[in-house]
Amino acid sequence: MNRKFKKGVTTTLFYLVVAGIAIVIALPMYFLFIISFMSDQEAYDWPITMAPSFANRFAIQKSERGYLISVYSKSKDEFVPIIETKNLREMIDRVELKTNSTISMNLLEKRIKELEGKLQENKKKIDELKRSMKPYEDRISKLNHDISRTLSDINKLNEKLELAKNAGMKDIVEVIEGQLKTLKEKFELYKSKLEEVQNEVRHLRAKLVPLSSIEFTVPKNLFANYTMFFRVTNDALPALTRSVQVALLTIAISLSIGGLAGYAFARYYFKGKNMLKLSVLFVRMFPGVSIAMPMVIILARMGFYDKPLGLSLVYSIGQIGMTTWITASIFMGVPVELEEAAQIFGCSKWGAFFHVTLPLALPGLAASAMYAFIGSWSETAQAIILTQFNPTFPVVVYETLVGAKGLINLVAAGGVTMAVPAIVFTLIIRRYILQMWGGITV
Amino acid sequence: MAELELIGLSKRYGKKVWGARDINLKVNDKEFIVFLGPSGCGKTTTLRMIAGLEEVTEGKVLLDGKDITYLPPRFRDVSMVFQSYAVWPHMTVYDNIAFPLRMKKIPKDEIDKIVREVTKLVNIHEYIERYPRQLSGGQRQRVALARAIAVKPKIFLMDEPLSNLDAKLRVRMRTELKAIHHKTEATTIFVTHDQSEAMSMADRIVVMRAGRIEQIGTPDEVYHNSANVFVAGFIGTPPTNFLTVELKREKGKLLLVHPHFKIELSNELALPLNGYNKDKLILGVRPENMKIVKKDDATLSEEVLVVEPQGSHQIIAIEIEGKIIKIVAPSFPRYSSGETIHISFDLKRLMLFDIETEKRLNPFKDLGLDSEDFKKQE
Repeated sequence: MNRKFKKGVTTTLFYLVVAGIAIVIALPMYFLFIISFMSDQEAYDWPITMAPSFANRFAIQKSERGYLISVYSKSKDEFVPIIETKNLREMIDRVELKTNSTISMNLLEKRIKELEGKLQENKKKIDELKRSMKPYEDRISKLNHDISRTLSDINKLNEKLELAKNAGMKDIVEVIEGQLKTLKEKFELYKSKLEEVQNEVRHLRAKLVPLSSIEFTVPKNLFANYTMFFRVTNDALPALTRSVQVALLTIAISLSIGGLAGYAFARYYFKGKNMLKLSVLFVRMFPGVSIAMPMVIILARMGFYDKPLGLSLVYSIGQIGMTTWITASIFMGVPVELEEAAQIFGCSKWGAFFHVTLPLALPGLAASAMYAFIGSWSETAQAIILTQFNPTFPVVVYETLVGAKGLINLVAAGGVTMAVPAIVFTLIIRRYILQMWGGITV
Repeated sequence: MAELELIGLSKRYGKKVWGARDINLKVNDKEFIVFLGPSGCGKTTTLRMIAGLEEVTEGKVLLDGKDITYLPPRFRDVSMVFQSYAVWPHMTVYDNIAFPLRMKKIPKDEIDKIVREVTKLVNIHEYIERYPRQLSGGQRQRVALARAIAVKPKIFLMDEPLSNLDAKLRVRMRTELKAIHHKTEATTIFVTHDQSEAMSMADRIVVMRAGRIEQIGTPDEVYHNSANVFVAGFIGTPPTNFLTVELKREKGKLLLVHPHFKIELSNELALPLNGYNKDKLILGVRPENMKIVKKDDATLSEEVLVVEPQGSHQIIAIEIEGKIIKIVAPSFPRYSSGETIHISFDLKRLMLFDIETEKRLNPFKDLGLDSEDFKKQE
């Protein structure tokens, strides 16, 4: 019984931990994803909704300076004002920027006409309501005045109290404390009264709103952030192609050099082999940024500065070590007899490598290619240093975040755009990794 | 059609370690040669040098009189079966066999014909579309064999091809290999450390130790006429019994004297010892060359230590001077531990070895296999 209980507890704990890890990994990704579909207004709402909306509800009212348009906020459960203007074009642009919904001029004019009609119709009721609201508003302003006066009194008394305390005049201190107490009570009273009145006003306003405003729903453009991202950062598209170039070049360089080194480590014995194998990894121990600084000079001298090839060369430095290790263990897994058999049955040494070892090692090579791809694809720090006018995509996303254009929904759109090629590449490679011929064991 | 000659073939690893040293051997056409020896004796190294997988340090490999010592493996016209089969796991059985033929640029329909032929020969034609991982160890071995046969090599090299199979399958494959050899008539070199494999398959056995050849001969020769103590001890189960005896001359006759027995040598046996001037030698007697006899005829009487019944025969162990001596006797009568038995030696088949060099002193001129005892019954 006890044992069963113990087992149950450990199992539960285990799954809790697993679920926790899954959430820790999945939740940020999920939010990145949904935020990339949210409008500016939604993204900065708090608490943030769990899913992006597909349409926006607007309310339009007449105001002193023209018309006031507001959008419904799910988390606040009320309409949030966007802009108050007479200029309808300006209103449309502003609404689009804020909510990702494009209201056509036709629709807006129609709605305004409706609004005017409604106002005419309900004029009496509105005036009545406004009249009944008037005394409340007066009270509010009076109460606000009282509150601010009380506050300043309290402040003055506090100063006096401080002085009296320092002087050590006990009687005065007591007197002042008594006064303070009554003042504070007064303050609380005003505050509660203000709240009461405000509630009353809110109540009345709620009655007023349906009488004096028009509500309508406009579908949201889900991918507005993405188009916006590419429009705002005019460099994004060429940067994307540059990033692909860098990644492919990095794979080519690190796989050809690292792969051959791995083969040598797996097949041949030579002096200092283990030391060399370890030292290959030392390169990775230096922070990329520290390497990047001197690299600027070296690349500039080579003429590769601010070019994809230069960047991929720097990325390859670190990747070669990793690729060497991965491929060495993969090649070790391919029995040397298979190659020897190929040599006996008509292949040269190179032929044996290409016909037998390479196809068998392909899954491992694919894995290290994936590693190199992801490593170079999302690298930002070195890219910032090593590029100037031709940045890679991560740099563009980074600039969106820190620059004047800093809008988190745009950054999220950029981030998701950046993730897509990496995911696609991984899915393609995954097929090779899974498509093993029942392992290489013979 | 294929004659292989090894002349002074040597392989040195590093500066001092000799993998094989001064191997001289002539392999005749259609012959089935077995390299036999304990592990690390250089038999695989020698094979790999013939295949071209190992660089030769010294010496020559001649195939049909042509020097192939430094030719890459693919130009040597040899094929090999590996201990680990080495069938390519990413190819089907068909492709495994067809790949070498494709490398030779043989037309497609002919490849197809050859593949069907050899797969039928080794009995795997049902699995032709399978991958090696879908086959059992024995079937993979057959694929390796088929691949080796398909290229029609001048020489077949087999590196312990049966050692990864289970005992029962090994015995069956042994028979099949021999049958295939009869059909293909390809010159074959077979490496093994299993002496029963060697005895049952070989036309000639090359016994090796520590990189050197100890003896070359037919299975009967190496068994009955072992060239030295090592060969006599390595071949045969249970192995040859060795006893150190003193050599004494009495009244013009030669006597082998042991604390427990005395043997008077016949003229025939004494002749080879003419030039021998040491006073001790090693006497080798195969277990089946000792007979249990009546007390009066006995050379030696001793208590039985252990009896190991084998069904077809029994192995009786006795202890002389701390040494276990084994005797193969018919199944009946049964003896039991502690019983005293009387033993005589088959004097014609005594093997005498030099006490120092351990070389054979009395090689038989003929094995006596023509004697009346061994004639076939009409």
